[in-house]
Amino acid sequence: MTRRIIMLALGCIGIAAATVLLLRPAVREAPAAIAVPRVAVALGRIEPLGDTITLAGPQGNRSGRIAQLLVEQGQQVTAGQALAVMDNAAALTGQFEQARASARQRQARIAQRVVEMEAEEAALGAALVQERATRDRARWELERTQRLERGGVLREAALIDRRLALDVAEQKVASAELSLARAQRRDVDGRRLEEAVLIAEREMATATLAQMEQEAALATLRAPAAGRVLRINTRPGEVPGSDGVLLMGDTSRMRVRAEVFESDVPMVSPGQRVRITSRALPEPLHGEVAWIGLRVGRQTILREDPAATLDARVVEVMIGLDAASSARVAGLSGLQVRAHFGARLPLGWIQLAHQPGRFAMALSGVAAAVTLVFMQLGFMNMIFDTTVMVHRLLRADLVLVSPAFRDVTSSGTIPRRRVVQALGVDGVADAEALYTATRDWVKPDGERGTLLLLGVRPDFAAFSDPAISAQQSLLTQPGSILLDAGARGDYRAVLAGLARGEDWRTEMGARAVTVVGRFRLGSSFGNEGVLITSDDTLQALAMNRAAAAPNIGLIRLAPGADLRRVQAAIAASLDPADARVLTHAEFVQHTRGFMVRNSPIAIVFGFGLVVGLVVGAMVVTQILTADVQEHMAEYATFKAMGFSNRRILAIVYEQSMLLAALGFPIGLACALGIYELIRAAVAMPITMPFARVAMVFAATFIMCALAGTLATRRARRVDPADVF
Amino acid sequence: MSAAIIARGLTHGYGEGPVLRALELDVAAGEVLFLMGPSGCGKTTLLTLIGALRSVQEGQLHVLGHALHGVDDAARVASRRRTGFVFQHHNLHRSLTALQNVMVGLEARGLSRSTDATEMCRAALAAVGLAGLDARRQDKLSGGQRQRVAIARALVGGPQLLLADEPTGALDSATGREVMAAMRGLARAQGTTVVIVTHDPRLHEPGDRVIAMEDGQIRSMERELAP
Ligand SMILES: Nc1ncnc2c1ncn2[C@@H]1O[C@H](COP(=O)(O)OP(=O)(O)OP(=O)(O)O)[C@@H](O)[C@H]1O
Ligand SMILES: [Mg+2]
Repeated sequence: MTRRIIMLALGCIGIAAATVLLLRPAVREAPAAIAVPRVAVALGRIEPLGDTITLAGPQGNRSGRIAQLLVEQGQQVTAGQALAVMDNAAALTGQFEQARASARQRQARIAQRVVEMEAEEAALGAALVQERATRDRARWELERTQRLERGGVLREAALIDRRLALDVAEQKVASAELSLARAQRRDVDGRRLEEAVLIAEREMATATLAQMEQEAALATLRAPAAGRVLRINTRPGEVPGSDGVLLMGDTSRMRVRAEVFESDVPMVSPGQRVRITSRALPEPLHGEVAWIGLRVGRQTILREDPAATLDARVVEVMIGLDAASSARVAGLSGLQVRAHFGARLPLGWIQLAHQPGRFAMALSGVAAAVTLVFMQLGFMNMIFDTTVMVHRLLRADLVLVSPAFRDVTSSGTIPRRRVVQALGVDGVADAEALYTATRDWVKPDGERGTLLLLGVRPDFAAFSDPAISAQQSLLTQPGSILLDAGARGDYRAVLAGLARGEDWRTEMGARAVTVVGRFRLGSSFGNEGVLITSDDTLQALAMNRAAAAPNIGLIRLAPGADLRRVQAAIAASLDPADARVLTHAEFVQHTRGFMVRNSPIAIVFGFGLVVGLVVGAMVVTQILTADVQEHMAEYATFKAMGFSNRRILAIVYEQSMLLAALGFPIGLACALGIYELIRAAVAMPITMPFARVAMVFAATFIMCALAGTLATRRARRVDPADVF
Repeated sequence: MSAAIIARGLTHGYGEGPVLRALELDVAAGEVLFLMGPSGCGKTTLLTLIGALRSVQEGQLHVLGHALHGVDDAARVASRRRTGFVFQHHNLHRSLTALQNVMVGLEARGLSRSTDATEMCRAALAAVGLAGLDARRQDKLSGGQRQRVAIARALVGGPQLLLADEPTGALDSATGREVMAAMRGLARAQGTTVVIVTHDPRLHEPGDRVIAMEDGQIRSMERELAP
């Protein structure tokens, strides 16, 4: 074991040293290798730099045919300019006019009716006054007639006539009062009732008018933004289809969308100069690589040559055309072109390789950060894994645990009758109770150690390790125990004795125990190791334990039984207050998840991980910044010669990506070596899952990209006038 | 013959008073022009303006038919790509071989397009008398050789204008003459307009135009006559 670790450690150092040493010859050989730059040529299409807009026809049941197009293909238009008129424009305008007339008419009617109603009200008032006068007159006549009658002047018949006349007059007054009151009735807004009705009608007419106006406006298509009409898709007389009436876009700046063969991508980088040619262009265009797509796809632009490969894999590369070139092809959106990517020197690589000392330092910075991150992740997962080591040792399809269950050392108890109950459920083949307790014992060296004691009926195969199952029959003897050979402490003499067939006697509490066999599990942070015994022995050793209150119920299903269905059936028979039923996977995840959520472990290691990445980023930033600083004169010269800012920055990014790509494997190798050392030293499981490798690989690139970005701050300020 | 450089009322300063004062200059295409004058009179400043390394502050400047006053950074970069520069110091990249240094010049111009790019660069090195030294880095080249690499870098790809600021200033006179001859040879072959700042009148040849600058203005202009 020790020899293997030393070999591995030496291997790591060897890889690191070889990487550094290999760089020296690379410096010498590089010129020959890159003196003949290959070039990439790709097919592409010209398109506007800004987004293109597909102008759809009006939607809904009022859509119609195009009556008239007001623009031509290639024409420049301003925002809001009318582009096309639909054939229902005239009808809609007519309807709009009609609606407007109707709204006006309603308004006039209100005015008219108000005047009329005011007049009516006045007339009713006058009538009332008239009727009251008539009544007063009739009353006076009656009184006079009564006086005369008392004087015997008139006969009774005249008196009756007068009384009748007064009655009639009073009825007329009441009727006139009623009419006036009706006319004067007002709603809550103080308006006459009829006036309110008329106003509501007018409002409806106004709403209709607004809607008609909108619809009439929609019959004229307008440009949503300034731009050029790139393609007309619908001609007069046609109904706009799914590709809209026309396609427009901002053509003040054009670009080329090129499809570069996957194998040629390494020859393309942002800021690189590109020459664009086409049979349709008398002179080539010029541009610069703006960005390189991340996705690899199938070729969509095909060569004229029918024999050319059709299913080549390509990466999309966007090339921004310079102002002069853009102006020349503003009207040629969609034109197929060839993009010639100029050969470029791998300046970042050359600069790094020319300074092996600095390169090695940067690489070790990245490698150290990678190693540190792997260590943190390894330790963290190791701790989480050790908490479920015993879970994994238990052989069960379903597990009964107490609602208070956290892990095997802090599990709470369940009523034993629940385990017995489970036996009665359809699909359950076997079920048994497991007892757990942590107990101290005296180790061979005389020191005390805390171990986890697992007790189960010896004739129940409760463990996934066949070595344990084979020895379980030995546990029928009271006081006998199986020892974890991976337990912390020096048990070599004991284990050697066991191998010779000699038992080891020691004591636990005040009781004598005998180690009769062994298995291998390993220690965890919670306990030094695991002991396996019978349920009876455990109850005897842990004095306060009752047979009726085990800690875990182990349930095994009959062949072919449905796990979920049986789980549901058992759950239905349980009282959720005293037991829960989990699948074995849930049982493991329960404890692991509990630890991840409730222990500071994830935070502590997460912090260490961030520190690792930050330190790595700082080292790389420092070294790249020093490199930029040293090459300021060269960069100023490059800029004076016509390099764009972007091309200068690409040198720095090229360096940071190289450091990531080369530093990562070194860090990974170191981490693997350290994992191996830990496995040997502390007898705990530490593994390197692929997902972790992938994640750290990505983090390394992000770290280096960040460092590159920080280092370019200086490079951005290079002034080409400084060269003199 | 069309004009390569037209300057009208070109005024430029660095804060305390103008260095160039309403300077007027016309240079015809294909001409070789010597710019002479006392130290600090603004020769380098004028060169950086013509080379689009600085933005024009005042006045008008047309170089190779493109205006350089009131233009953006992109237009200046484009102008630099049409121009070759040779400096007093070679300014070669120390990590690159002679050939790679020349290739950088070609890449900047956006003209390297196939394996013949390498041939172009080799030919440029051969034209300045450095055939066979392609793979040397600057630390293995003499001062005159370095300056000749710089000339090859400036002229590869055929720029229409070459600006040189005391290209022989750091060399002894014999080497200076060699370097000058290399520059003239390559420039003449490509029909390049050349503007050279120098203090050494022995570098002039018949037919060259010599301009004397003083206090940010052009004092005199004369044509070198046959001896
Ligand atoms: N970047 C700058 N910032 C401030 N002042 C400057 C700068 N560059 C030049 N100057 C000043 O402008 C004046 C002209 O400088 P310039 O370099 O153009 O002169 P020159 O004619 O090239 O001189 P020399 O023959 O010594 O090279 C000088 O006084 C100089 O101090
Ligand atoms: Mg100067």
